[in-house]
Amino acid sequence: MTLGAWLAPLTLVVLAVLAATVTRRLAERRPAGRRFFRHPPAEAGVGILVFFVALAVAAPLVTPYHPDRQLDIVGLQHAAPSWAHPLGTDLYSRDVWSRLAFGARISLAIGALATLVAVTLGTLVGVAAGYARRLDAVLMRLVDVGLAMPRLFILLVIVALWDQLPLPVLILAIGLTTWFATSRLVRAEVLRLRELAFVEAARAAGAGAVRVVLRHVLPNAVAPVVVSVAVGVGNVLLLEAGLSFLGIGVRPPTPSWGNMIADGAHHVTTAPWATVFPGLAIALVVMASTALGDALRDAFDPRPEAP
Amino acid sequence: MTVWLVRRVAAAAATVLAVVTLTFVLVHAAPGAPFLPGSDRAADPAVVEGLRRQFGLDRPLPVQYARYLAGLATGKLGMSFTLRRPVADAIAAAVPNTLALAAAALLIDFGLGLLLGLYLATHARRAGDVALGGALLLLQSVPTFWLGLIVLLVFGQWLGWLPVGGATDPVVYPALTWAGKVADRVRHLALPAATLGLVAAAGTARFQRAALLEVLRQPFVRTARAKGVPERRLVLAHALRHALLPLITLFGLSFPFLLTGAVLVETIFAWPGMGKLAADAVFLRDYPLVTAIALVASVMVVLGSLLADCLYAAADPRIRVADG
Amino acid sequence: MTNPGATTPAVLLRIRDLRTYFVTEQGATARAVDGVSFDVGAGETLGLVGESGCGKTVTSLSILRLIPEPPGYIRPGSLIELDGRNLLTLPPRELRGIRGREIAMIFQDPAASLNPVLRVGDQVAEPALVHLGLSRAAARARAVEMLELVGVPDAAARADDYPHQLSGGLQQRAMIAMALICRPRVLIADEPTTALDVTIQAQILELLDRLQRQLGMAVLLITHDLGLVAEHADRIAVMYAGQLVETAPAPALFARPQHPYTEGLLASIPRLDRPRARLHAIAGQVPAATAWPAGCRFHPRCPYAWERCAREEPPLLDAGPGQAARCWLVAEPARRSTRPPSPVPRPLS
Repeated sequence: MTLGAWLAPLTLVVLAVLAATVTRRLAERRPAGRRFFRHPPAEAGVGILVFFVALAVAAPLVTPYHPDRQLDIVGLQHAAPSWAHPLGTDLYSRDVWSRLAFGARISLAIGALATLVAVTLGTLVGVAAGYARRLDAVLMRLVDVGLAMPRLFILLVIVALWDQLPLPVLILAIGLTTWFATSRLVRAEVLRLRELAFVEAARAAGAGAVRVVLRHVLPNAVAPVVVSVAVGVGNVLLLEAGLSFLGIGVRPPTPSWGNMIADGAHHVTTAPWATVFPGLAIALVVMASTALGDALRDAFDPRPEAP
Repeated sequence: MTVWLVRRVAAAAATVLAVVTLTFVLVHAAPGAPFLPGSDRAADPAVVEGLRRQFGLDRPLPVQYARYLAGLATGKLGMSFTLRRPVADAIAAAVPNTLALAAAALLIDFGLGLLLGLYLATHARRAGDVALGGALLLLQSVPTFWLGLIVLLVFGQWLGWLPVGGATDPVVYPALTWAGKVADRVRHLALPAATLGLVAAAGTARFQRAALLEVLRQPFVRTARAKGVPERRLVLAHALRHALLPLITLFGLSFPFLLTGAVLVETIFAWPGMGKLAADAVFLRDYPLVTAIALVASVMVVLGSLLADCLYAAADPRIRVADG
Repeated sequence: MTNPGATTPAVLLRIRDLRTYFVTEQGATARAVDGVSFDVGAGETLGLVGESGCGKTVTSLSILRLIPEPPGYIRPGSLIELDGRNLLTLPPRELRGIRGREIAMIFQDPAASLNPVLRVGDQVAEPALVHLGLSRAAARARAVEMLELVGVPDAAARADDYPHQLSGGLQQRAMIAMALICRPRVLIADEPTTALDVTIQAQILELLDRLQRQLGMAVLLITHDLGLVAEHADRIAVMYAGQLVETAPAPALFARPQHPYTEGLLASIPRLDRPRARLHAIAGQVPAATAWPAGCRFHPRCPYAWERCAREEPPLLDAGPGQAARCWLVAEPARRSTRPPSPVPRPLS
């Protein structure tokens, strides 16, 4: 890679560090922000997330090669990391770094979208169950069933039954199988809020159920929703990686971090870099997601002590 | 107590029934299923129709549902296309292996997790805690199958300490003594169990740290300190005993993780369990097999959760010794 | 209460200039206990009285060094002596030997202060196990004896119960049994009856009186309830804003309170034997421990205050036999008549 090509990722790193520091500075003005950054990994988590999101967004600008382009098929197959290819090349002589960047787009997009579906559905169900007593029993039974089936297995069944699942359907399927925990959390929060005085006051003033929920309950139930989003992205990422690894997620040649690991798996002993780097990327983002979830939980619902 | 138990078991049974119904609905809602095994096998419509009649697939849905339930009750889970044997047989052969893997992983998970969590909590906010906590956070975040590949690379290939696949050594095993057989199995179990167990242990350790720190803030710990109880006894006899309760809850929640992890880890290490069976089956679109495995997995999760609830009730005297 | 005519008891616990500060999240220093000094003698009960936030609980926790060391710390220059031994310089192991054995403490909420997953008998026996080297069986037997001593009916059976199976009163009796099992010389009782029903309160306090007489302990009774100390304390120390503002023998405090804060507290007690009038309340609020007022800390709320009070912080001034008050009125008694305070009620006994 030329020097210019090296500058691009370095810029991203600098951007990430800056973003993390600035966020911290701004946040520390308020007690919730101070609580958030009390966790040592929180700052790193922000930085990591910014880095990978920026990478995903700017992928074409930051990478020297097209992710699907097979360079020198014979000479560059499974080449070790070098100046020209900082993360090496894979089985099909494609630059790993470029594939990693474009893989970020797919993996993070799936993570974000599926989490969006899951958290939206989970919040709706949680609010309905928490607020409307008649719906509670039925909905919670449903949630119990959902929590009983290990997600991967349901998705395996779906994939086995429908032959060629297009990507949007896969995202929807992942979202539809991941909302259960969120609904429990939201329900608990709604139950708590429902007993508070301001809700009673609203109802006494004649507000209908929907209005009470939308204007009073929901804005205050934000905490579990936000935490669910933070943690959910990490979970979905792992799920997608697993599915792609099994060959039933994102299909090649479109790069996703999961199928990159699959590509490299058979030759992990001779060319570990093809497997190590995508896995490391997943680990870092999941770590950031978990750390942010912990920190958000503390920021919303303070514990008297540091972590 | 018994009333609670009966209700809990009834709820579990209801959940299992719901799962069964869900799988039935899924299978019958899918296009092409329940008979076309794969779209790459175009079959003569007349043949398909004949087979449908033969398998009773032209009957109304409620009837099919009833027959499905009846079949499950008697242990008939259908036929596997790819293996050409009854699904129940294939699963029966695979489940013990997965159970062995899960048990070994659980041992590592809670054994290591408890010790690490104890260390983290007693050294909270000091250098050891921050460093180890960060490392565990990373370990908890790695994809289990990726860790499996790394472990395989390092311990199987580079160091050559442990075998890289299968449950037993295909060549030597039949000739070994009984003790040798056990040892061989253990050697083969080591890497996959370690992979699953380590990732789980990282999560357990961090969870246990939080639980212990929470307990150590409670007023009754201050009372114990005021009595002059030494720190070690305080942590072990007072705090840990109390922090075991959330740990039992965590135990109940670990079944889905273990079963999901099993699918991927077994594939990598060629461990002949349910997970590998499911992964192979899904690749070949053998949906009776996949569906049945999903069912069995769900039942295991429900049972595990029930077990955890019972353990919790037994461990918490506030529940155990209350009336009714 | 001990015989009022008895000679001054030997001082067991001596506190001099205790300062316990906390560092807040924002970096400020909360001076929760800011120069407190008192003595407690064998067989004597000292009542430490004050509103919440005045520092009385922090004082009691400081004695046994139960303050979480970050963010709290006891300033050097403070002195806490048990029978001549400085507790602040003791190595940790010896300090643990003191806790529960020489100095024992009982807390406010017995339900929360007992470990819910351990049996009552085991918890009561624990100090004996840890300090006296008794075997488990011997410690257990002694625990049952103690439970009988504190008036727990069917003590042997109760010892096998878990805390949640006992009523609030029984739980507190168990706490007392636990505190006294090693025959400590000093007992610190931090709001021992606040969480209990009124009828039970009286029983518990009578129990403490009886046990004190039996064991000859020094008792530090911490409470916000003046009625309690009237009945059960020999001497009373009133605390405000991290300092002692008045100390006196109990009868003297109620008959001739010297500090305006004490007057205010006494006037705030609702009375059944007077014509119904508006309840008296002390104007203003307790200030934050990070920002004590300059001069006399009570002056913003004091009906007598004049410019000296805002300027100079008064020390504890001698105001009679065994009585002292931190108020310039003691030095300039003429000013008392400039603004008559509300009528001071007398206790019923």
